[in-house]
Parts: sequence; C-alpha cells; structure tokens
Amino acid sequence: MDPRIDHLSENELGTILDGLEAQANELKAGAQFVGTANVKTIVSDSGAPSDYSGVLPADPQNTSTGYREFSVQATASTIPNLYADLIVYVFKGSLATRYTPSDYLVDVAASAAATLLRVENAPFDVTNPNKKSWLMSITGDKTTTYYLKFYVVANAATTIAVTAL
Amino acid sequence: MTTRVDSLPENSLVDRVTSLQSELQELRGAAQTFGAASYRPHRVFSANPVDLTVTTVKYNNIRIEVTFTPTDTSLSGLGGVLFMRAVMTDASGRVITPVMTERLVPVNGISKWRLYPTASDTFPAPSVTFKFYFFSTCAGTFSTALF
Repeated sequence: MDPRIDHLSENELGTILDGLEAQANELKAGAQFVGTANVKTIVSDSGAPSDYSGVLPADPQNTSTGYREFSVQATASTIPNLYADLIVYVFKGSLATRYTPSDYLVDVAASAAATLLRVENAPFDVTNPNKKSWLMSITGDKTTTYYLKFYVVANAATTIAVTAL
Repeated sequence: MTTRVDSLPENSLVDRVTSLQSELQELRGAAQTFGAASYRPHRVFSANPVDLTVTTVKYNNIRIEVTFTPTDTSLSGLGGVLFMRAVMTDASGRVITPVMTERLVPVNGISKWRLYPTASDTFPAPSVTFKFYFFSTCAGTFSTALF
C-alpha cells in the first residue's frame, strides 16, 4: 500500500477507518474491559415484529377473562455471568397499538377488560450463570389478539427463548 | 458519506481518527476484565434527599419519565443501565411499593422508564416524592420529567 495519504485509491482511507471502527466495536462487544464508562450494553431481540401472538385462553380462576403465563430465558453468547433486564412491549389488536400501564388504568376506571402484565424474576440457575429467566403472566380479554415483543438489556449479546406455559 | 480524502468535509478525518484513538486508549487503559467475578457495576444516584416531588396525585393524572444518559455515548449502545429502582414516599413518610413502571427500549445507550403513580381521585395524595437508583455499566446522569 502506498503510505502517502494523497496517493490512496478512492475510498481506501474510508475503508481503513471503517475497519478500525468495526474492530473497536467488536472488542467492546466481546471480551470487554471494565473501566470508567466504556462497557457496551447490548439490547437483544429476536428480530421478529413479535415473539408471541394469540388470543388468551380462559383463566381457570376466572373464566370470564383471558390469562397466559410465559417463561422467558436469556442466554449470554459470550460471557459467563449475565446481568440482564427484560423489557416487554404488549400490543393489543394490532402491532400498531402498544398497550401501556396508562391504558390499563383507563380500562380499570371504565370497568373495561384491562390488560395487566406481571413480570417476576425466576429462581437463579446457579449452574448456568450465563442464563437469566423470568416468569411472566398476562391478563386480558379472551377475544382480542395480543402480540408480545421481548427485549433484553444486558452486558452481552443474548438469545431469547420464549415458552408459553 | 464520501470517503475520498480530498472530498471529506473540514476536520472530518481528524475527528474520526481522534475518536478511534480515544476508543483504543480506553480499551488499553482499563484494568478489569469483564468476566467471572471481576465485574463491578456502577451505582448512580443523586445526593439529594429526593429527586422529584409531585403534588395532588390522583388515579391517573401523573406520568413520570426518567432518562439515564451515559457519560460516554460515542459508540452506539455504549454504557447503559442494567436495572433501575425507584422509591416512592408519601407525605407521611411511608414508602409505597410497587410503583407501576415500564422500561422503554434503550436508544443509543440512553435508557428511559415511565412511572405511573396512582392514588384516589376522591382523596388525592397531597405530596409524593421519588428517589431513583441506577445500577449501570457506566457513569452517567439522569433527569426526570412529567409527560
């Protein structure tokens, strides 16, 4: 390679800089060093618009409402110890309408079928510290299609497994 | 962006090289490896007794958005909050838990939460205070706003 910067071929310098940036990014995404402010936090998701869609089956405790439980497990791809937080977006009727806690409060006040999401930490798996699990339940009506989308915020890239119980 | 040297805007090349240099210095200058038992997260909170006071809290009239911004946002997703805890206290000093909270998907390392405190429309809570704690992989600052 001609070292003179004005003799570089078209876009060659840009390619070199892009490569360096990609390497720095990879170093931070893989075996990271912990310092002042330089650890990369990674948001992972399946890439699909939603990870679950369906009408909720009747709640055995109250057959007039719909209810379903889920197990969600995140597995770190690179590191042995996973620190992770779960974000769940609920969409009711269509993927264009996200159902928020504010919608829940409005529905409760109007005595309408309210959708409530509960997320609990599952017992820690001491033999697999690269995994973290949550138990999640959703209560809602029995006729509308619900869509659930899961995101995991963690100190490593993760794969997410969702099981409807 | 064009990458031809003679077509780059003024200082663009210097800016990119300087940014890369600081990234590499950070990687070389850090001491702890991120692995088995050597990882120490940051805890970020203010020195103030309370971070936010809201008055006349009714059933669904107060919505709070909390934003955490990492000190360093030079790479997308660099730094961020693993989890956040909010403590809500009423005027008589009682801690009220849990507060209905949702976390939004972080964008460029900036995390946001939305809190929906509730009380009675008939007997509103005259004053409610909030204190926020962040457990993060980086230093950062936070702010609160009603939305």
